[in-house]
Amino acid sequence: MKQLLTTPSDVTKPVCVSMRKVSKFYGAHQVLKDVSLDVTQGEVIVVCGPSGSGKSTCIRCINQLEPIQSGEIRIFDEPIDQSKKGLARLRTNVGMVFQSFNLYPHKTAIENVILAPMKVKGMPRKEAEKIGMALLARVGLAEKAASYPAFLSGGQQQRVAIARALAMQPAVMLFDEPTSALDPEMIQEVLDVIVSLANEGMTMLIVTHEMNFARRVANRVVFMDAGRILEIAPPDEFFTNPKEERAKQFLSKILSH
Amino acid sequence: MIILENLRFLLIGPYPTGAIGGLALTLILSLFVGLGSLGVGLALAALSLSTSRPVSIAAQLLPTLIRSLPSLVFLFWLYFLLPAILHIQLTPLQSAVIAFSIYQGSFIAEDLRGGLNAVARGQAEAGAATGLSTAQVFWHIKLPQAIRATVPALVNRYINMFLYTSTASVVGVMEFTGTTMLVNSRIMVHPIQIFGFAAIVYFVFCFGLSSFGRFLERRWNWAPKITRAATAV
Repeated sequence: MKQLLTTPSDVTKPVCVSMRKVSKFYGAHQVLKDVSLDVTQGEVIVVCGPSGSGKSTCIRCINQLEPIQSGEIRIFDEPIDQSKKGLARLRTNVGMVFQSFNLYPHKTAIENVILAPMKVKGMPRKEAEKIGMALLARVGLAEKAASYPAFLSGGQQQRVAIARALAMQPAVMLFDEPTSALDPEMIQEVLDVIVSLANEGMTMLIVTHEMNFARRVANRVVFMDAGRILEIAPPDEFFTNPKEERAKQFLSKILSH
Repeated sequence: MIILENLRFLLIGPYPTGAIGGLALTLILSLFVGLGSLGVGLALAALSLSTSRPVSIAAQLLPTLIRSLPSLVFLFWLYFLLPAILHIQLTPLQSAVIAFSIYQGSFIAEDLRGGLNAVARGQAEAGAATGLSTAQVFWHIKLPQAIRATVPALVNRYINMFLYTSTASVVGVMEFTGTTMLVNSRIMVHPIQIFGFAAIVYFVFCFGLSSFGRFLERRWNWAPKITRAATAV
């Protein structure tokens, strides 16, 4: 198998996330096959590929929402500690935003944001609220702090979910198709928040089908198919001249409309 | 009027010259059983989610066994069998509180388990992804949503529980129904008034409970649909 661009060109920055020959099975079905990838600090990686290719599973392994069967994942050059404390520490370091938002419906926007800082970090409510309000303001939703999720639009809910993940002050953010469940007119407001994070140097892995967005923010694009990483390339290269036949097919389908 | 003449006895029994009884004892019994059964229900529901299979199975088997007995038979068990087997002598009131707590708790456990299973999977994931422990996810995320979804069923249980406290009179707990029977057998000639009064009193409290349930449903109106977050997987 030919060499993939698994390590970034800029080797002066520390590696945040390192995946080495990661494999995952659901029963006998292998959903990740020897996935290897290094992500350096400040990098934005867009993961794309056809559905069922293992994109979501790949990023869900990084914060151990999915256990892996073989290979190794290191965060800041430390292996993942599977103890309760280790997992809590890992997940404090690695924030995640879901396709279906997953806001807590019984808590207001601000309560959604401050729950983990209070319960995991033991932050006093006042301090957590201060940080939470600043984050809600940052995603443009300060005036919705007291609203329950059911009274927010999809785009607003997803922005609250981003604030909730940021409240733990993670070093890495994972986005699992953050705009796939949104109405078209709400996609932009969420992407804008992600772009502003990228501009501030947040390390991110983003699974998305928004190819224009990928072109704009990604440092590298990872193309997956059938559980493997087939191609890793800078976005200009990937979108204008993909090397893999499978990637060409995928792009022709997804970019035709 | 016959009720007014016996009102004090119906409300508090022979208290303060004797043990407290009547309606007051029904309320005390209900309060203890209400709290006790909620505790039992919560514990069993939480254990049924355990990742340890034997624990989970046991927590589901116990309610299944207990629910297939009439609550009165279960009360007899505690009242007559425990002293015989374990040589523990419980007072009638203690037996009733323990028996009804475990019995009603078994039903509540099943209600809550259903509510917990209805909470979208993404909810627990979102909690875990921010570093919350399994226990914190249960307490702060799953349980409030499960209870909200279960309010109508829980109100049903509590009404049922309140009414079934009357069977404690069979083992000598002189609660409201017990004192009503005492008054009736002493006076003999006014059963309609006496039991009519009992029916009205039970109705008032049950109506209060269901009104409280509707109040809670309105109060916790933070989501029109509980599974709203599960729009896509």
